[in-house]
Amino acid sequence: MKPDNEISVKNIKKFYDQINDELKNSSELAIDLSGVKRVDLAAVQVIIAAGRKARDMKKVVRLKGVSPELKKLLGLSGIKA
Amino acid sequence: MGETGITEVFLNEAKEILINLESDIVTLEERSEDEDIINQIFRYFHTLKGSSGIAGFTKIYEFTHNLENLFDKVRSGEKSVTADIIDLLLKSLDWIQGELFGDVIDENAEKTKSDIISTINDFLGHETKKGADDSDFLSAVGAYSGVGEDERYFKILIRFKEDIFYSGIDPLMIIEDLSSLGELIDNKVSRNLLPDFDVMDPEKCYLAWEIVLKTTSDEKHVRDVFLFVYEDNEIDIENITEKYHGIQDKKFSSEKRLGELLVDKGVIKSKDLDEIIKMQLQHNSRIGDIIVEKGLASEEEVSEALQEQDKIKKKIEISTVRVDSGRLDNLMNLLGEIVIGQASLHRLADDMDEDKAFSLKNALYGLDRVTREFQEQIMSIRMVPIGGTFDQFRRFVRDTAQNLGKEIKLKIEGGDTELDKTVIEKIGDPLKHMIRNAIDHGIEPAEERRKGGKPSYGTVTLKAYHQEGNVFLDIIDDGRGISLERVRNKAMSLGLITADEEVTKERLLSFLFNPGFSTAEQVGDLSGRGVGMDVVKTNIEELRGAIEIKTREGEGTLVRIKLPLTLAIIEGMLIRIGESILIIPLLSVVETIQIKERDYKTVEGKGELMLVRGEYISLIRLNELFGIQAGNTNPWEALFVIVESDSERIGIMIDELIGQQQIVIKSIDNFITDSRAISGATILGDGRVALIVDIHGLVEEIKY
Repeated sequence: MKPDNEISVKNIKKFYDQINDELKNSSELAIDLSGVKRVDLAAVQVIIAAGRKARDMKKVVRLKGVSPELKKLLGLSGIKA
Repeated sequence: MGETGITEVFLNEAKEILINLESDIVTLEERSEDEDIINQIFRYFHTLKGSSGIAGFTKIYEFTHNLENLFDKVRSGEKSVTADIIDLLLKSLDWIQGELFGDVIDENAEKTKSDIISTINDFLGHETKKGADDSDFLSAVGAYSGVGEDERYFKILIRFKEDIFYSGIDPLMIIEDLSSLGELIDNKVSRNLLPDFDVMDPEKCYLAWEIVLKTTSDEKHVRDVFLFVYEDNEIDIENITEKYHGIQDKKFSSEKRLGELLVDKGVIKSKDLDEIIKMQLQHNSRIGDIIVEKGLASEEEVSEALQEQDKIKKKIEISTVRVDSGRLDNLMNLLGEIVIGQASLHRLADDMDEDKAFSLKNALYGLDRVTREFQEQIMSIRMVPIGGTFDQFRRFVRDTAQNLGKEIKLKIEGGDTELDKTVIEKIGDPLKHMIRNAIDHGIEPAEERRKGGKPSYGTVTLKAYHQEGNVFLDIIDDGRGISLERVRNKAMSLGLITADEEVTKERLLSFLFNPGFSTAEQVGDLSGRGVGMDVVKTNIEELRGAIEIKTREGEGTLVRIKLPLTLAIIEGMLIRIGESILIIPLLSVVETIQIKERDYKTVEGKGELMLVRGEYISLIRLNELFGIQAGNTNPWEALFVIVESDSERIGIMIDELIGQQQIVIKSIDNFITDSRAISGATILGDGRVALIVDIHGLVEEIKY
């Protein structure tokens, strides 16, 4: 999946649903963040929870195209990208 | 939480911030070293940045980030406030305003934005270069890192409330701001409360942080990061510099910590505290929990100390709620319906037998009192200080004066005078027009003023005050005044008066409110087109207000706007003429009288007059004016309500005085009547509609 521009509480439900579908239907969830300029904490929490669920399902979540700016934000929330 | 909700909250907040910022920035130009204003402006930029980010206004977020950076330099004293910076800040506000609230798409907006950002970068860049010779090299080689006396360590525990996103705040942005103060040498993110993916609510906040920050900022700066979340969230900031350096850096600890408070209170000993702090660092527990666990203090003692600590922290008590003004309008409308319902009950009581009527009326008087109090409470919620509106003109006066090459000072008095919110919303444009006139036509150029023995700068004063149940707004300039001769000539050329006609000063000045009347010699960009004063007057009258001008040549002009305190409910006197019931606002009523036949006179050119306490006043037959059926036609058989407007008294002939009651004003469309003598209508207790007489409009209508 390739979200664009920003993932925030504003569109978090859509992002959550997309991840949920991907987790059900694919063996690996790859989130391409190359088009994303900014994420907020709501987005980060969904990514963390998705990672846990994927682990339980013996699947993996991969983050791709993470810009330095995003990397910093994810790092502050405890995600090493 | 939907997209619309966040956007709406953000836009409302942004509108308010932009208004305040504009006023503060113009004030900053005059008081360039006022730390309070500087801090306030910084906080506004900071909030604007944060809120725009969460609401998804990325462009505004990036833009305000630059402004925040620039202003941080001002705040820290690295950059002083100059006229260039003020201009840049004002231009920036215009850009944000256009971007958020502009009606049309500005093709140059992008270029304007880039220009502003590049100028900001120039400012910031120059700053860096300035210091480069003496300090950049040393910084680059790490000469200041890890050894400086000013270096502090803070342990910060952060747990946001679950619904924080609903207040438009992104916790991550706060953590990001915190990290910008220095280095997060430890950052533990607790995911303990994050539920499983399937049961989590993605719009809630679950993560918590335990951070050790290394910074050169003092505790106040660290706390500032949490300025807007301190009250409702668990934020614990502790200066642990001593633990890192073994030096107690007391001069920066602006607040007592829990342990210190307990030592001060004699609950624990200072040697115990050292041990407790060591344990806290090792186990990441709360200091209060350790103290209770070790049996050094009871839970009550710790909680008492925490409360005391909270009191110190709560420098700003937040005891307000933000309410959609539409809800207040609804409340007011509902109250209006209650008032109408009460009037119905009063009417029913009139038709009942005496005993029952007495009991019902007694009960109703009690209800009336509560309703009146209820109304006053709602009115007080709707009241807003005019100061905010006045402050908006600081920028306008500055820009207009600059455009015209005049020196003008704006003086504001009575900014805390409160007016109904609806009046405040509608008064801005008329005020702006008056101020523009004062600057353009009133205030003379500096040279002319000096010749006239005046200071080179002109002063425009905006003044608000309460008087006799009304609010008065004065716009005063110490300029050249209005030339009555020119007004007279213009009035003659327009055929409003004849050459030999004697006209009072008041009437001459009232011509200025006629459409197309201008005495300006030159039509300027700003004013002088003769369009506007009539519109101003109409706007003010729509608010049931009045406007008058007082002037003296060479000395200045005063424009006085009189406005009612409220627009929604008034005390009214119900009168009957023929079959019609009309309402006269009680504020305008002087007395009710009957006259004798000998006191009635008709005078050619002046109409019908009556003698009241030695003074002749005009007699008005509303049935003729409104085209309604008359009752009594002989004045000495009728009753008169004497009313007053602007010191002018008239006697309105009526058949019956029904009584006095609260009146809920309902506006009526222009197509029903364009008479200025009618200001609205109301619904009576029996369901009938009664028109409300506008006494000021009535006097104006019969005068000319």
